Amino acid sequence: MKILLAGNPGAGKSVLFSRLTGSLVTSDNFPGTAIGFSSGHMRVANQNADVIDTPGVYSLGSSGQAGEVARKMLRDGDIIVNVVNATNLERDLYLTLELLEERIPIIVALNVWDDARHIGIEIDVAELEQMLGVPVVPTVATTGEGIKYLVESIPRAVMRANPAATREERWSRIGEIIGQAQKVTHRHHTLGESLADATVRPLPGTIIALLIAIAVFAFVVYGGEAIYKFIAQPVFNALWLPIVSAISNLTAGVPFLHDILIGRLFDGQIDFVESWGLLTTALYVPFALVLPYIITFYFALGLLEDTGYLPRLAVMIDTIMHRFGMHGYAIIPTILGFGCNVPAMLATRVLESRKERFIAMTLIAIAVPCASLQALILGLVGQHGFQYVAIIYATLLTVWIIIGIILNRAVKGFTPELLIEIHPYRLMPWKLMMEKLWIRVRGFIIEAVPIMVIAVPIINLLYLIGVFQAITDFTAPVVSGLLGLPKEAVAAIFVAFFRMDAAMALLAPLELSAKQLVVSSVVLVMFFPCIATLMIMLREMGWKSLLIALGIMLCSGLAVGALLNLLPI
Amino acid sequence: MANAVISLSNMRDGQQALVSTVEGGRGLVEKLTAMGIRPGKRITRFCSMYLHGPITIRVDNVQLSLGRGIADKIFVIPDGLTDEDTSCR
Repeated sequence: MKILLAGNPGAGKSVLFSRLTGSLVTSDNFPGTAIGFSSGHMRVANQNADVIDTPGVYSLGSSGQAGEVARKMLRDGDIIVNVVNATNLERDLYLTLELLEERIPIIVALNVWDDARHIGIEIDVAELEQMLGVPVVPTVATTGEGIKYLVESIPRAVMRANPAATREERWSRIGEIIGQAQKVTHRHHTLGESLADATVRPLPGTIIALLIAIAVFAFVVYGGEAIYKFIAQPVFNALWLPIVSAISNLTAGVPFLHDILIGRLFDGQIDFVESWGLLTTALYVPFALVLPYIITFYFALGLLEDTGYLPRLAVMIDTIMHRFGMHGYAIIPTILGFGCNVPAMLATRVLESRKERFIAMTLIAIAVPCASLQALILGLVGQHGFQYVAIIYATLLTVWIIIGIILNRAVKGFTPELLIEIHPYRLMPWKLMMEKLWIRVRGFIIEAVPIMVIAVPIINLLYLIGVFQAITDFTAPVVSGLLGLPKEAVAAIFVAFFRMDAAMALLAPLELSAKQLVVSSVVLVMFFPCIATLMIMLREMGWKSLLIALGIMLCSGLAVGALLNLLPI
Repeated sequence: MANAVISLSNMRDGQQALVSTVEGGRGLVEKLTAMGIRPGKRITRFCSMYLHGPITIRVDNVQLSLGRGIADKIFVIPDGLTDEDTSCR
């Protein structure tokens, strides 16, 4: 049996999905990103059933990817659970009436039931059931209220197969239903709502946006540092160091094996960052240096997504983003890029025009460093003083602005206008937020660690057989002459293609000055995307656009690197 | 003045009006209709961003933000009502 969840964006489908299946999907709180659908299992009337979360649409006639996907999915379902937001009954019923015309049994989950009561909306469930001709069950997905009864009621779903109606007929029918089944009592704004409103008012909204940005940055940076200092580093030093030291002693007689597993020793000691062995650097970089920041970043991002703040940020920043040929919504993929550029590229799909998507993707690839790279920048450059980290971020912001303005002028095409729904703020259950965080952290571990484990020995091998030395002399004029870096730094640029964090770690033994670290950090961010990002960009923009984007990256990366080298930092 | 047709862009923050027509392509009209903006609906202009930024409006319990280009295409009839709770200060 296949059960489909269908409903408007913001009706709470994804949370209901996790309530029904017990597993969590990354259900982002903004419309459009649910295009890659999620599926899970549940038991209904002692039978196993598949549950599928369809993309949120306002109408089956919706144009665009989401509408298409929703229509396709409806064709092979056995039962539809239509999730209706009780606070927007009138509008949400339009989709319900469309669904009732399909040849498939339907049950309505009247979600956000608690909020509807709070804001003075009274819905006569029996009357609504009567008028629609299908079962209606009030639910509160975020707290779990009514879910048990919904599950029990699923077998009672009814197929109406109403005759096809026109738009006007549906709206007039909705008018009748609303008139009979819903009573609205007027009531004044609560303090909470006034605070919520402040976040879309120009002046308080701008101040709040800046405060949130500062709070998020401080939390990610200092929270990550705290996890590193008080958990990750002590664990590695107390528990792992004795083990690898023992292995180091055991393999001392087999230099090749020692080089691969442990790497170089410094004064007979293992250095987790610089030794560059499979059991040292390949594990220490992802688990100790990067993971703490992955945890704090995705925790903060999850809060912003789940509370529903991000669309408000899109409204605040819309005017600025138009200067760069995008509308305000483009800020959301950009923020995702600070975690990992790959999902950020996918998230640009919510942008409507080709021009907008090209600019958004190119700017993310050029000027938005992922969490792995940022963790290493904070670790290596931060040692020399926070002002150098600030120079890196200020440079990237300037690059983002200048290239954005140029691309807006140079790229043909149009920039659509912003049109989004601002859903009310809500609090997600902690358990769901933690599960989502875990899914993302696990995603990082699954992707990053194997690549590190493969890349570290290969890089080690390339060093041992002298490949990098050959390249080094060839590229020395650019790397040393133009960028002012030691010629060995070119290896990092190559490695950045596989893992940005590994590339930064490769710079550690070179004893770079603060200025050289600033230059190399900026060049690594701008120069070339990692292979995973590159493949996604190829798929999303095609090879012609990709070549142009790469050209922009190489030229601007070199130019900015050379410029920073000339400046007295 | 109370019954003249004006575009949503020309409404004042806090002002209420009934939607008269939406003059855009079929795609835009359908999208706006599905999101809750259709003739006869009462909307409240809630707030607008600086420098010709997006306008946020309320229809029933739905809050929508739309760019000026779209607001220019939505025509409304103000009916003299304002909502003190939803002015933009």
